[in-house]
Amino acid sequence: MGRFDGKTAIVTGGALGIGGGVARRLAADGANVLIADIADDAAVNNVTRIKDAGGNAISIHANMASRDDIEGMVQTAVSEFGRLDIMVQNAWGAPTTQITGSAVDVPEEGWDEGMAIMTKALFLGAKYAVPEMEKTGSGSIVNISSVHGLLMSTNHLVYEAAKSAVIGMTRQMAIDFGPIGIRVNAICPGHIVTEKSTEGRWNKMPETLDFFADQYPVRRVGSPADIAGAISFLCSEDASFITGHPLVVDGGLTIQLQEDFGVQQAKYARANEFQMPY
Amino acid sequence: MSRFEGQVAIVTGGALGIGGATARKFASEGARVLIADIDMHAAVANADGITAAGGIAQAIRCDVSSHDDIRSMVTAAVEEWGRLDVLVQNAYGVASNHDQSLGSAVTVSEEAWDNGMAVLTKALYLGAKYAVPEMRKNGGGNIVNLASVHGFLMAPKRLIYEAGKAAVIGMTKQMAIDFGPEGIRVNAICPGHILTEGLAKMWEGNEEGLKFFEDQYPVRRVGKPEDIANAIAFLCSEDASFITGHSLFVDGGLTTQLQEDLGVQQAKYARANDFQMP
Repeated sequence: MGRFDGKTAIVTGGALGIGGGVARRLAADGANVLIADIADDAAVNNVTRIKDAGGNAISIHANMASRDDIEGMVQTAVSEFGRLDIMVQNAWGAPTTQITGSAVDVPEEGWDEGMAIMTKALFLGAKYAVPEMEKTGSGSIVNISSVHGLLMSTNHLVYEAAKSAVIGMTRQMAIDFGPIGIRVNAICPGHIVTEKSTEGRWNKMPETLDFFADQYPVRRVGSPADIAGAISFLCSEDASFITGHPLVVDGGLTIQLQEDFGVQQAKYARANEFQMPY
Repeated sequence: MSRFEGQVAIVTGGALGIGGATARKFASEGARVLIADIDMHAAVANADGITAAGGIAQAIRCDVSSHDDIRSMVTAAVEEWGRLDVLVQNAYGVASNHDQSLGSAVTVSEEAWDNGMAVLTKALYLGAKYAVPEMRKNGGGNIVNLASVHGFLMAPKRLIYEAGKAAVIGMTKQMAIDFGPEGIRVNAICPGHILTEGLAKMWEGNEEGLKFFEDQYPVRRVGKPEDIANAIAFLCSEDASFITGHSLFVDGGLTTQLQEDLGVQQAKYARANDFQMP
């Protein structure tokens, strides 16, 4: 049954949300999973959940702003499980400085911190993971980009630039490591409802979530399981001829021409009561 | 492992090559498969092979340049098995007049344009026209259209094929937003060079030429029909239920490479290795 039996996977940001769902899915598919996260309690909870379901996982504290943490994370996976086959780079940290704003508004510190956790961390992850994967003769890296890496929302310079860079880095790593059997792909998720966003926002404004769902051609927003299913596929043998690809898992959001979409949403807003999300 | 138990799938061009493997894949995962092809002999042989392996398949003669044939194909699937869940539009049928379809806008004939666009694009419109109403009855369904890396980047003197495949990517997005609200997902696949029975014949006696081709791919191999079949099965599975309108590249990283560097790399390869140009 397990398409990843005997394999080792690292999931950064694997405690909650997308990463949490990915960790559970890879474990359910047979992998030994290392959950690397800064949210220690939540990471331990997810490990327990995986073990209760019959899977195998451990957790480690890893801050993606720290080179030592990233190196230690890879070392731990190899020392605990003997090898490394899969790395899902999902964490984007909890920035301590302001990363929102246009080029005029965003502070330089926000740029530096945002780019460090969203792009440099992925470079360092690959730097340490690839030599380990090379020892097994194959491997698969999945970097979490975003629909924000394809199309831009206003006043988000750092996030949009970083997620665009993730797509470029993914392609670069794919051509660099393809010849040694390592595939590197990206995922561009649309709006994914996580534990945090359910508690923090959507429970309080369900009509707004309906409005969001209406923006998607499939008429729903995503779940962590949607992203986990796509990642499981990309890391499997079924995808062995797929590399350098940004797989868009967005219910069709980004294929819509903006001017028609805008009119459609304006009509929805007139016909339905809801509170604006921001 | 039976992701398509109880479902009914149509695969156009399902006798050989990519379509042949796709038909076998869906049947092996529980679907009842209608193989629609102009080559009845090969179609029946593939259906017989599926039956012998314990699957369920039937063959029907279908020329995708014929409106009546496409309508009958859908009718036949529904009459035989009572429903339709999956339509894989893979046939392109220009094989018989391949030479006439080559050429620039100056050299290619109007007749070749009309014939080529009919099988490459109009056939997919008609396929959806008849398949979607049947899928609606089940509350959902999946269409996968075969585009190509040629739908994204262009080879010289191939106006019809490149225009046709580019249109497939556009049509896929259009159908995804039109039918998404009804639970019907529509995605495209962009395959790289796939070693089908036909192409394998082309490479016979030129193993060095094939090695040169393989060297152009970051994963250092060309594709197999199974690579595409596996990707199509993923797109039609529940794991991909938040993916629609997407062009999934199954090309071993081919199109992620910047052309000028690849050109230099291949020039070096050509100087260092003896092979006959394909």
